[in-house]
Amino acid sequence: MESSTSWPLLFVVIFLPLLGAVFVALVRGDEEILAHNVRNVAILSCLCTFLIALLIWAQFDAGKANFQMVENYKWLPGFSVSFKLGIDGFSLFFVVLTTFLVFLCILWRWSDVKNSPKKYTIILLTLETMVVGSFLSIDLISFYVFFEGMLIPLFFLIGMFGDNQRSFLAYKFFIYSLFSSSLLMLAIILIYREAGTTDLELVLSHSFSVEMQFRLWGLLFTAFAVRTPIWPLHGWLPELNVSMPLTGSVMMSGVIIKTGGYGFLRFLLPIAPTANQELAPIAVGLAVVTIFYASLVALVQSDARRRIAYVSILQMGIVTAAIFAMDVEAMEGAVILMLAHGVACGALFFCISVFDRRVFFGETREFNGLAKTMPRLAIFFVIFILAFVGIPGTSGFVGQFLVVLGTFKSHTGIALATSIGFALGTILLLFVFLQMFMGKAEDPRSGAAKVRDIGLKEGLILLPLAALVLWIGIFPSSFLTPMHASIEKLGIEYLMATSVPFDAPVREEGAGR
Amino acid sequence: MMVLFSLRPMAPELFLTATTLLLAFGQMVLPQFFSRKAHAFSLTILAVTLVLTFFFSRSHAFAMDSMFVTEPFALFGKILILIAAFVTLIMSRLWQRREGQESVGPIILVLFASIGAFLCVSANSFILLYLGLELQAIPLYLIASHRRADRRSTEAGLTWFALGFLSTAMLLYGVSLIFAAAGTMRFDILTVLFLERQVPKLAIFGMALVLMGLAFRVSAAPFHLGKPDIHEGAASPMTVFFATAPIIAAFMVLSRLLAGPFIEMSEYWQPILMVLALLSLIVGGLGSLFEWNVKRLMACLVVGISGQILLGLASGGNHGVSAAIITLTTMLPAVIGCYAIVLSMRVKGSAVTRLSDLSGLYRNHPMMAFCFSVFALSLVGVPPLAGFWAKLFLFSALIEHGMIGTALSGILSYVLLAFSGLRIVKTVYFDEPDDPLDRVDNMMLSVIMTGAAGLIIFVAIFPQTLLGAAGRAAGWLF
Repeated sequence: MESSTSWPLLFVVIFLPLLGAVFVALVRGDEEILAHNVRNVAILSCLCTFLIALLIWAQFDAGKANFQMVENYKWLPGFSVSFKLGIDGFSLFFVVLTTFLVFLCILWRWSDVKNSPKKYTIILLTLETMVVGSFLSIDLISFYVFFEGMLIPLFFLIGMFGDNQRSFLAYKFFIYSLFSSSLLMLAIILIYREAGTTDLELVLSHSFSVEMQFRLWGLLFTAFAVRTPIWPLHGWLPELNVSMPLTGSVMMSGVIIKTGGYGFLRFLLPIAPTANQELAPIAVGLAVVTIFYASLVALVQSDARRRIAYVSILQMGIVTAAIFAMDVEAMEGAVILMLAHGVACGALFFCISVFDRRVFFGETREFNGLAKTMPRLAIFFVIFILAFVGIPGTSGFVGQFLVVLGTFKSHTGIALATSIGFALGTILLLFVFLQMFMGKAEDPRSGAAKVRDIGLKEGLILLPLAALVLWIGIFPSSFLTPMHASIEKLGIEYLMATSVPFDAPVREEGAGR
Repeated sequence: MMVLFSLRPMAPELFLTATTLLLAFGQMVLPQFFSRKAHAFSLTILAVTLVLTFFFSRSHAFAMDSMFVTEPFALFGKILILIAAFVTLIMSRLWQRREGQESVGPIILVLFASIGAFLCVSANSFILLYLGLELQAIPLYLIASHRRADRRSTEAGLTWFALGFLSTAMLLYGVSLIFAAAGTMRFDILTVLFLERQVPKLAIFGMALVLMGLAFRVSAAPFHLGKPDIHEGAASPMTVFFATAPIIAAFMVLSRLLAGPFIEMSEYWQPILMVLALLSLIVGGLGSLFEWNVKRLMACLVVGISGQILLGLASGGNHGVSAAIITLTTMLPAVIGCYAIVLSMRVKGSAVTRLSDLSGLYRNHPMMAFCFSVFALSLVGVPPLAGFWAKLFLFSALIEHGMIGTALSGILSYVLLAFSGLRIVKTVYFDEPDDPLDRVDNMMLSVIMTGAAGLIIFVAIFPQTLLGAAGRAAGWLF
């Protein structure tokens, strides 16, 4: 819990994108120069942010379970609310993932925003600030400001750059999210009234009465369940993935929905462990329903983007089930799965956006036999789909293995559900691949036949993602080790609160290779 | 001499009255001289009043046989009212110049209304309360109907006149019942009286009637009827005053009453206020969803905000009043800013009336669109804007008093209100512009607009000053 550097790295990594956005807002000039300058400023600030995130990773001490690099800024001293930042095993990789994905989004040339590159980059940079801020805040009010604050740039992103449905979807998204954040606010106020502070570290040392824990569990679970998303509160996501600009979908599936799962781990479990003992089955039950519901709906989708959206929901259902299985492996698997999903899903949306950039917003069912015309894209597509479904050697497998192992120890039924979920996800995505890439190119005059394969620039962006997939798959310990201490700490505290242990890890280091 | 000295706490009010009367008579006697200088004169008056208020209204003091009280709480309200009046007069000057009218009448009326509002805020007796309320309201009726040639304007004035008198009548009836029950009009004596002995049933009825009378003043549903028409009919800059000053004054009065004479009757007024609040939130939210006229839309938003403030007051106690003050303070720049934007745009040569006139504002006037969004989102309480702190405090106050059910319903109604804020943002940013908008290049309006937006953002990031001041001000009541 000490500051290991003299630079306020966490503060910088949060607000540097915002600073970049301000600079972008000041850029003037006619269209071409404007677009050029805007892109340069954005690339610079995103690159710097990403490098700082890497620096934070390098300085992260994997042995410590508590919050590291804590920065405490006085905000409302009269109310003991401070702007407090800290990082630990849970949040580290989400921060790195976010900065990485935003950097790639900025690099990815995108024709749909030709009209207003300035507005788009400002929104994206502001969004990055909000998301990173919510991962790094360890004061409840700061977290809330960022968590709900990210709705504003998202609202603009959907509303300005979406397709015809955009206004309706923007409203729908905002209302769902506002509802969930209001419940979160109520929970925070309740916590504040009882604990007298919103500082997370102090709150965690306060033990709440059982009745209060039940209330908090209900509020927090519903709030984060909307974001994750869990059935029946998932309605805002699927159409959005189709309607949003594709880099928006990258952010949404890659990062935004992870704030939900993060919320479960960071707030729900530590604050309401006793209630969780009783209520976790509800969470698991809803998660399992999500898994099966999402897979059934994904089955009947013809559009690849919708299908991927529903498989995303399916995977987040698996993640939630794993989190609430109360097992160390399962939890590690859940976090790795979230990371892996972020990378793979983001990458898949990048791949799909190749089409939409060449051909305007078509239904992807029209595309067949692309393996012939776009072999390079086909290779990347395969890698990412396999990563998504969990072939050994890819990122998905690590998560899959740990989740199934962990849930099996805790409850065989959950393990069965998660395994089936994985299998369903596999089938569904492979269908996507088969449909789009295999088979004959049917109509030479159709848009699909005219699409060029990806070039060097796009390849250079997809390549790091593929490399990341393989890295997580082949050397997962670089990612598992830093988070291990924090998960163990959660387990210990849970044990102390409820006298129910997380199941002790049975594997030795190196499983999952 | 002693008499004058004892009136020292009333110095700002006395100064304001004297100078306003001077202006009024001077305008009759020397019209040419005064009509040109009237605006400048009035702005100076207000500025000097502000200084006087800071000096004389800050300490806890009584005047006029203890009918008049000053303390930091009253100071807060008076500052807000002065700001509202100041901005209104500036905007009205620009408006009048543009419309080609030069009339001193509204200026004088605004000043009189401000005096009335001041008296309301500092009232320690029902008599002064009534006087202040009427003095604040009647000039507004006249301002509303000022444009004699416009049918809507006359209708607005008449409606307000009729409803206003009805509500005042209810208020007076309530006051008379309380007087009959307790034998005094003074708040501090009443507070002590009701604390020591059991509250007579008659006084409870009186309280309910007083609440209803005040509910009209604050645009609480279901007493808000007519307000959208009133807002629509009046000239734009004046609507800024209607939407702010009377509501501020009335809420200050309400807070004082709830913390003072009515404090022992909380089991009776809490349900009343809760129902009023939730109804206002819902009506405000639904209303603003379906309104297309900008001024009516703003009026509905004001109804919603009143609901929010009532929710805070319903919780009773220090924090509720604090939350109310914070909401009023964050509402003020937002409303002012919205009207500044509406005033500075013209479409097809005439003023902006419908929200759709402003669609696609972003394309040509990005700064204005940004400011409008800041105002709209702050009004509905979205972080990280100033209105969010108000919302947080409000629900905090509710939960502190264990009213979780109310908090939950409040949240649901809030989402409704948020919808209309989003609608504004959506229209301004996402929709295609219909007709070209001409910007009236006016530096003053731009200054007001950017100033208001800047203030909201400043309070959003550094809320301590506001929160601390509001807390201290509210503390004085208890």
